[in-house]
Amino acid sequence: MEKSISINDVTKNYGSICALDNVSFEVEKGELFGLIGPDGAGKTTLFRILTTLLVPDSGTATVEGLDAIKDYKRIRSIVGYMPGRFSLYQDLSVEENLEFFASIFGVDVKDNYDIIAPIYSQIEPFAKRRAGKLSGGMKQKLALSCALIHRPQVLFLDEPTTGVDAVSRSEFWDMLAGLKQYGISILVSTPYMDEAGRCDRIALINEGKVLKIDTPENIKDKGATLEDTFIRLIQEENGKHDICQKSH
Amino acid sequence: MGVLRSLIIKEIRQFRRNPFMPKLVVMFPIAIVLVMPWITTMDVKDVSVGIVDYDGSDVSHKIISRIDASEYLELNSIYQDYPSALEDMEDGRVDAILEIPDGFGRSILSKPEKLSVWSNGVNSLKGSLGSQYLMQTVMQCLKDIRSSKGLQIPEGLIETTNLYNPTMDYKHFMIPALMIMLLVMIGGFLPALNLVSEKELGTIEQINVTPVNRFVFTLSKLIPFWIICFIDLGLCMTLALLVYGLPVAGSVWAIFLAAALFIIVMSSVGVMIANLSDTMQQTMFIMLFVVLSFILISGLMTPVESMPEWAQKVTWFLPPTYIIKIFRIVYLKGASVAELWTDYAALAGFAVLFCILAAMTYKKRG
Repeated sequence: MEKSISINDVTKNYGSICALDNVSFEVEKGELFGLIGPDGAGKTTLFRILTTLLVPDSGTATVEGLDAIKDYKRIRSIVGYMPGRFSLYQDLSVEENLEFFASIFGVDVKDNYDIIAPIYSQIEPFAKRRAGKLSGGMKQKLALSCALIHRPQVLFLDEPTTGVDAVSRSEFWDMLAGLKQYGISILVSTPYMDEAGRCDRIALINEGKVLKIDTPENIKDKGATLEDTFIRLIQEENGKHDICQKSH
Repeated sequence: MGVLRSLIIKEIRQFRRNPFMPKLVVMFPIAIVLVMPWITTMDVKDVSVGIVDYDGSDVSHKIISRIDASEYLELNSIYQDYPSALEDMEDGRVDAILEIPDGFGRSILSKPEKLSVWSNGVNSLKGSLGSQYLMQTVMQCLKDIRSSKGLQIPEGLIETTNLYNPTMDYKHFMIPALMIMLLVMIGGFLPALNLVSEKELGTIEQINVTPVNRFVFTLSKLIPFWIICFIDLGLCMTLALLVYGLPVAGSVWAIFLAAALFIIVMSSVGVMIANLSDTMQQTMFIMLFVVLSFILISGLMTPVESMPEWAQKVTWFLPPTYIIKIFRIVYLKGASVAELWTDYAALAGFAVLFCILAAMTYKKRG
């Protein structure tokens, strides 16, 4: 079966700082894949490479079989991206934003309304309101609607729930689960462990390295929570690091 | 085309909702035409004159009354001696001192004694121009006295006639050049800020992950400002005609053609600076530096001919030099595009050059 996203030995440095260190993993078609890791782990860098905004120093990445460097133009029309920072036009209204993103992808809002309906219907009463005047949770719903309006094959969500209240977060994950029926592959990052449990598979990532990839259930140590397991893995990793330094 | 259209609709919506921009593009041309020409005028008026009259003759009284009557000169007071006049100049009450030596009145009909004029160099423009006005007034007075006695006009009397700007109204000279300020601001400054604001707000991140072509995106930012530029330029020209009675001596299309070329130059400079900066603040500072250099070195305020030779050579490399020349000549003298073809060609060359530079500075990906 062909993979939706495939990352092979991707490395990216910013000067002397190593953001990604030989990262490799694959995401199946239609899978909800979570990238779990603390701030500065390299999650956003990985998103920027997959969404063709950044070129890796080495390694290859493909999205739906398209090379992230060579075929960047084609990738841009088949993926939906929701950056970590709210990036819609705050001075345009809710419906104007949606219509704008539909038009630059060359689609009609009416034709693709079914896919965004469960999400967009919740903010539709505020269609005339400026995007900048929405609450955090409503902003996320609008951003997701705009990222979905052109029926992307792959959806990239960079920390979509950061700074959103607990109820809105839970609703947001329900919506992601609802997207499964459309066969959209979703790569989502989050610093919250409770959200990791709702993914099909997760990758634990820290300081540019993938520590472990598995289903949330299998990744957990016996009798421990996901959070405890993650902390143990990071400490183990840091311990290795210390030994290396001592041996020098 | 559909994408460009939606992008432009988006720009217009954002522009209209901006609390400041719509007011700016209306107020700016009005200020440029109604206010700026009065401020930037190089006409010196009310030059305060102090007179030291050692002579006290009929002739010196005539000179004094002539100075008193002058539109440009203002008689401050008449002093007993030079030191007391100098004291007032030091306090800034007097811009120029005229000393009439003893026996001047008697000498006038034979071999005139020398008159002395001192000008205050602290405000060099007022001092030097003021003392010239003063000398002209005195010479005119002497000429009248001598000719009434049937004597010849003294040799070396400078007679100045002003061509093309017959009233030598400085405002007429400045208005065409000030219109260029408008093109610099609206054609260059505003699109640059607009472009970089998308970077600063992060909205460019979302746009980049769409099929929108970067060239189309940039064009959508420029087209609204180009339209505003032409509307504002037309408004300026109308106001100049209505308020100052200053029509375009040449063809209006010659003005618009030069403006179109220059707007392309300024927009490309703006796009280039926006490409190279990450924040509005950076763009502001670089743009300010560019604009100031343009205004000070290109002959907008001071004549290129009076600059040192090296600076004159620098002006050849600045696009505003050519459009300032075109605007002034077409406006005041009425030259055609064919007569000024070298200047139009220079502007077109700069337009191509800066377009290429703007395209080259655009970094596709980090």
